Amino acid sequence: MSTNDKLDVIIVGAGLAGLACAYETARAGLQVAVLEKGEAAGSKSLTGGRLYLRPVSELCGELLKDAPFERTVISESITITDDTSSMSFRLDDNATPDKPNSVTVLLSPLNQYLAEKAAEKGAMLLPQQKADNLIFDKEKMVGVKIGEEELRARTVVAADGVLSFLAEEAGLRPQRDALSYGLGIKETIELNSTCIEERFNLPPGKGASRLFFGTITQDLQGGGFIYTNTNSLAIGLVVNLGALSNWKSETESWQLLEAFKARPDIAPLLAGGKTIEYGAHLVPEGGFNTLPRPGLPGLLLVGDAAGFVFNTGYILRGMDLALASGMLAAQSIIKSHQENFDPSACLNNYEQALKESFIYKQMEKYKKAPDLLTLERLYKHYPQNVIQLTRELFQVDSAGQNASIWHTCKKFVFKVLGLKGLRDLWRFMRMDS
Amino acid sequence: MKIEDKIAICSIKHHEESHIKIDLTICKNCQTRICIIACPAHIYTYESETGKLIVDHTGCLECGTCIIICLLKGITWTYPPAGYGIYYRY
Repeated sequence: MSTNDKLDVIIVGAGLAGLACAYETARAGLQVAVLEKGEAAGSKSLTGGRLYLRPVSELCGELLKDAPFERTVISESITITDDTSSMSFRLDDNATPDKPNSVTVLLSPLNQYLAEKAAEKGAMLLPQQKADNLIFDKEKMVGVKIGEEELRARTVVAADGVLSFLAEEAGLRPQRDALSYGLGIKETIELNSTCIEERFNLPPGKGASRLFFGTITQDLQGGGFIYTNTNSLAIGLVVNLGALSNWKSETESWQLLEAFKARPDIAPLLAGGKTIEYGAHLVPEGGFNTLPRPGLPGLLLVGDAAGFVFNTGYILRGMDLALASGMLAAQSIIKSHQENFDPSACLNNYEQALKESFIYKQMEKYKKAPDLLTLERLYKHYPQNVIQLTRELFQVDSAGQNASIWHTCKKFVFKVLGLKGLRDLWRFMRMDS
Repeated sequence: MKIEDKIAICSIKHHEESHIKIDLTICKNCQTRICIIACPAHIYTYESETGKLIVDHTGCLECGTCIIICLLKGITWTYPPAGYGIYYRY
């Protein structure tokens, strides 16, 4: 314990963001405790399965050096679907970059690895401890309550995930708006590595990402994914909760994933595999415009608790933002301890660091994306019609004729897109500028 | 695969006491019962004989969908007590 007999930092939540923060603060010699409500570190964490490495190579290079990653992703694809068929745009990238772009991960082993690293540096890991409430002292946060007990520290880091009850209690997330969340539903399916490499056309040890849009989510805003791990596949769907709340259907959300798995273009990829885990988790997908202030004096929000996720439609990122925000929070805390500790200055430091980092910059760049992705046309009208036009292009009829390119293009521009579609296309092209 | 089988393979250590509370006075006025459709664990069911909404907390995946999607605020949801609930292993 420090001289005034209290901790320097209490981190609530042993997920990626919390553990990165614990590692860094403990490494600087601060007294750090990590509270985890689950049975062990990362118990309640769930991911689709892909981590982009380059954004965190500098901040977390040392921490991630021996991390248990699954496969380096070299194959990317986007597939549009109608009720029976699908059409893909795929890149099998066998050029060998110096640094891998992204890797697939199993989150639980990764969290356990990070927990060990943080513990090695002296962080105190306290699993099965649930922080129920914050302790306020005037306008400042000074600790947490665990049942009747109080644990005090100079800084509380809320790394308690997308539902962050601490951020809610602090008044930083007054209302949870359904439109700002996606529901992710996922299965992990065990399959041997040779089988995975054959089915996904992969060199040994390399991995694939498959993203899907269209009627797999019926007419709901969302999409599907398959990621290849070493000896398993992660297959899942994310649907927007705002769309789901107005859904007029007899189908239940979990049945969407069953229908996805049973599709004739998906089932062969999974054949012979054994489901070893099922899970569901929310994704904060409101983007930059819905971000809360990242804390109050004495309280810093990191990772999902702060809403650090973004989705461009073809790139979905959260884990790298979680790791980076944990590190930035740690650096602000360390800096404040080197000076005359002031919780307001610490928060300002953190906010400034976020603004200068890729987290805010990229999220701001894609702030129009969440609105754009609410267009229903993206999920039914366009995929269905584009697949139909392509089908006609490839077919030869009994008169020995096939659809002409000129007519197909005209149909695409005037019938499928129309004015609305051209505007959508323009908006998509201008999404990040 | 049936939803019961999916839940059965998850590592869930459930507490006797439910961490989900339903306010039936609110639920009886609900027209949509969107919680039943939205819940990915299928833990909400409607009992037509009694006209009651029933929840089985033992299969909860702790996603939090129900508390956000229920606009009438008929559901009170907290995490299960420390050490209990879902443990994602992958």
